[in-house]
Amino acid sequence: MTTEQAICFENDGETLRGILHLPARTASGPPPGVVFLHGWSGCRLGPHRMFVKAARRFAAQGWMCLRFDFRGRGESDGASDRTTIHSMISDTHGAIEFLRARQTVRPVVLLGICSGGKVAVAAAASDARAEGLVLWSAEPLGGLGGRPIRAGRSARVLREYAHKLARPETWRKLLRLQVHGKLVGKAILQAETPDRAERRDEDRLLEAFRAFGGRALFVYGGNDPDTKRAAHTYRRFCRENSIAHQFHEIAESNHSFYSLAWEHEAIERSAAWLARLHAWSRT
Amino acid sequence: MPGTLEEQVEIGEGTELLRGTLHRPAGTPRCAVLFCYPLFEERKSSCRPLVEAARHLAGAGCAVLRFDYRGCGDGPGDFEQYAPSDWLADVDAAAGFLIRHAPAIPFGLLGLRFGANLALQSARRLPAAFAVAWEPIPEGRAWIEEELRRKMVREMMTFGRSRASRGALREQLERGCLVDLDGYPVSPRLFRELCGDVPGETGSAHPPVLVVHVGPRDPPAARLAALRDRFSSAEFRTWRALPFWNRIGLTDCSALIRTTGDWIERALT
Repeated sequence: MTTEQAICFENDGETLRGILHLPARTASGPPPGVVFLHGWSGCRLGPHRMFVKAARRFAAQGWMCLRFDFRGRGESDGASDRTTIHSMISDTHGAIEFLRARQTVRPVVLLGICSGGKVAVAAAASDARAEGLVLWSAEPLGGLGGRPIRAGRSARVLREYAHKLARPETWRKLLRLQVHGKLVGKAILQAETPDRAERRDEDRLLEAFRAFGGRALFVYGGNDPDTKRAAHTYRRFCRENSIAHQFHEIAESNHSFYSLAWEHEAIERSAAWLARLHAWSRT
Repeated sequence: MPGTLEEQVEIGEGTELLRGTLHRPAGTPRCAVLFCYPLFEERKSSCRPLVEAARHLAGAGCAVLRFDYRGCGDGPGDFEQYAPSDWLADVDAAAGFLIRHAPAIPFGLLGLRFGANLALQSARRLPAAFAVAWEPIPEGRAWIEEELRRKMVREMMTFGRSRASRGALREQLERGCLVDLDGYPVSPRLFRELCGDVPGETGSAHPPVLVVHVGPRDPPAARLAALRDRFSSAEFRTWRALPFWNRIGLTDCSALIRTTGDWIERALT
């Protein structure tokens, strides 16, 4: 029977909190481990509690799973506005340390969703203890994103508003002054701010990922406009750098797998891949 | 907050242990507050503001317990197994735990969205000295309709059209089928129980209640009337902000948290 424990660990002077899923005791030695990495503004539950379900599923399969909140997020300490990709990478290293200190867990796999996927890639590039990556709708790291992703979003937001203008309902709202102009402006303009320094920084992390010696599983939704390019560029990058990888597209899924069927497919496909990874690591 | 402690706790016994965090203030607590989380994705999106609210109240001398209901958040079990009647029992269990750990001081509840409904309902049964309701849901059925509409909008964004009308989804639930609400399996029992309205004051024993409307504008008149109708003696406030419980991204809720802390302070004196 699997069990769950609330845990905390320190990293860079902050207390990070999470849940450790322990597999049933087996006679075949220490278990393999998965560290779950949530997205930028998420928490250790994942979208629609997907991390909870996945961790329980993987624990039943013999994996020790750690779901934790990055500093400044969820239940962890730290100021919300001081979280950066670097603090997330450092927290990921802290989580691997926690798992490895508890038992000689091997292999350690990082499972990240959305920007947590990008963090997983960067953390694995600088920590040889991470031997596997499961990347759900992973955002592109650095130059893999092509033109700034936010500019792409902005264009989409504009297209959505243009589409709305064709509806009589929108005009009725406009005439009654029921449209919140400030919000519309914010939605368009905020999305338009590319951060070049951040991009250069990510390029350096991506450079280090060229030498990644582990294996990676990428799972993307077929209807996810945010990561269509990411899937393409990650595939090319892995091929060019001889990184062992697999891609799985969930035909109709959106970005965060917002349906029970898509969620099930992402979890089951990952569970099967983890089982194979564990077998490879023992040979 | 300096001197405060956050302790991971388990409530109950057996296989359905509830998981929570007890925020202990520095020194002897002045009051105890039980937080009631909202449901669905609102639980995830409101996680940080509620943690920050608990830390603020602990810094002001309150013992605060946050916990997950069965089938929700870090709680045991699967979502489709449970319904509001189970979650009310969970609120009772958590309240019992908090009162045992912080005895002989005023006890109150704070809830967001459907959690506010559970808090208001529980405040009638438990020895509550106050209750705070952030954006309660006055009409359960209208809320579910809104959630079904949200599902359709998400489908339109994904496929260019919605796959089933609201009527068809409602019919499925009424026929006893499970409906997939953006990754949350809604059972017919959950649907039936969610369709209830927020319970109002009964008799004269209801504790002081603060109802906060959160939105960029004043609440719609009908909504406000529905709430005023049920809570004639409650204090109503509006906090002009975007609904942080259904947004991607982080919202600074410090003004709402401070207002609530100040109101609790006054309710205690």
